[in-house]
Amino acid sequence: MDDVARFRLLRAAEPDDPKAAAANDLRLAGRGDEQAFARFYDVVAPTVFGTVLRVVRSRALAEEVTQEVFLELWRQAPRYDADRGAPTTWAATIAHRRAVDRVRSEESSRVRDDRHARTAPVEHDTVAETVTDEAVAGYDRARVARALDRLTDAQREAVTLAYYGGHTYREVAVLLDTPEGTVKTRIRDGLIKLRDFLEVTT
Amino acid sequence: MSDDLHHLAAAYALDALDPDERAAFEAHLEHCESCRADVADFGAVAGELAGATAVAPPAALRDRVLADVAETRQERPVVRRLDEPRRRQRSTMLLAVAAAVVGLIAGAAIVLTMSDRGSGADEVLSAADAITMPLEGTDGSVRVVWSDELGRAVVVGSGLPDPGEGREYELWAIVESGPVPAGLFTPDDGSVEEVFDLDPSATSPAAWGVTNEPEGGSPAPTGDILYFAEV
Ligand SMILES: [Zn+2]
Repeated sequence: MDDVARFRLLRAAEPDDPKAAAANDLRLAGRGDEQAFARFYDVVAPTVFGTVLRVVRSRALAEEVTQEVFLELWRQAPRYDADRGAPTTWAATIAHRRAVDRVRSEESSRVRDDRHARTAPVEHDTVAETVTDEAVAGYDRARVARALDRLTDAQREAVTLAYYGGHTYREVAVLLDTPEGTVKTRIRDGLIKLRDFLEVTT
Repeated sequence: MSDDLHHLAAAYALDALDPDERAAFEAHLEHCESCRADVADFGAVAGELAGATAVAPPAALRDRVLADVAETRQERPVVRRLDEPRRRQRSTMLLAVAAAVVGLIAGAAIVLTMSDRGSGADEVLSAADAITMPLEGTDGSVRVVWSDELGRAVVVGSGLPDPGEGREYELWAIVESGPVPAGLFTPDDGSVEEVFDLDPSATSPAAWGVTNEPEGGSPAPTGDILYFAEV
């Protein structure tokens, strides 16, 4: 017991590091641990649901897509590779991809009566306003809003229309009446700036 | 053509490519390391954008998800081969993972395994299910190659410091119940290649670690983790 306790003292990061805890729960979930997956759900569900809701707009559809996303996360958990990103990033990637794919496939088969809603430019300051309480996912939203604030208006518009609006860069080009190449460059420059401002490291 | 593709990493990370372009870019990613790095970075940025728009889902959704989970089979894990070196992980990530793994330890029964020195390295190295794992550490390099099927591990190292008078290095297979002794070794002029028979409880470990221990080894680690890798 003493030796075990000593080994435990070797922990280098703070014991309550939520990222390490989520990574660990995900690893356990990968071995079929449903309780660990439930803990992982509690940590990432607001990010997943919020992202999906932002893209699909309808709460009912967002719930349906979120349920599918978590089923996929569960199925893929044994293949999660920490090299390819933090658990929350991984969940957000899968959630956004699925939301976008759902919207695009639905829209190709029906009239886009919600076109105006989804194409209205998303202002950066609405980032803070659409979220629920600050504690919900432990994210520093003000930090993201500040980082977005440092982009040029054109970059911010291109990035938010693509990500929060779920549009392809070609669609963004149409919406902004701007050449596709220009939009591609704005998205790239915008993300490079965000990467630096947010000090994202992988 | 491929020049154009390099510039799609950002749009790809935002899911802003048409299906055709997405497929072309994913094919390009297979052999473009710089785009893989960009996608990882931009994906992390997208993750931040996602976190900034978090909304608590309805409580009933949690029950539905967990009900789904209870009756859904998972994918099989991807087994890495010897010829597929992984990207080196950042040490901060490793430390966080080490913390998480070590944090699991709870009153485990530790069994000392006898080590079988000297022979059979090739057998392990060429085993069909062999996995190789470079361990993160400051001095020299250590890698562990093991086969769950054979129940054996090989530790290969170079440039290692002398463990000191009356000391040896001890390899630990870290499983859910805690670290299991996997073998003792002393480098010869900094180099080592030794084969160990693994205790059945030490197969499929979550991580490998190496500590410096008194000669003869310890049933549980007493020194700092000098080398470490999460599986
Ligand atoms: Zn490339």
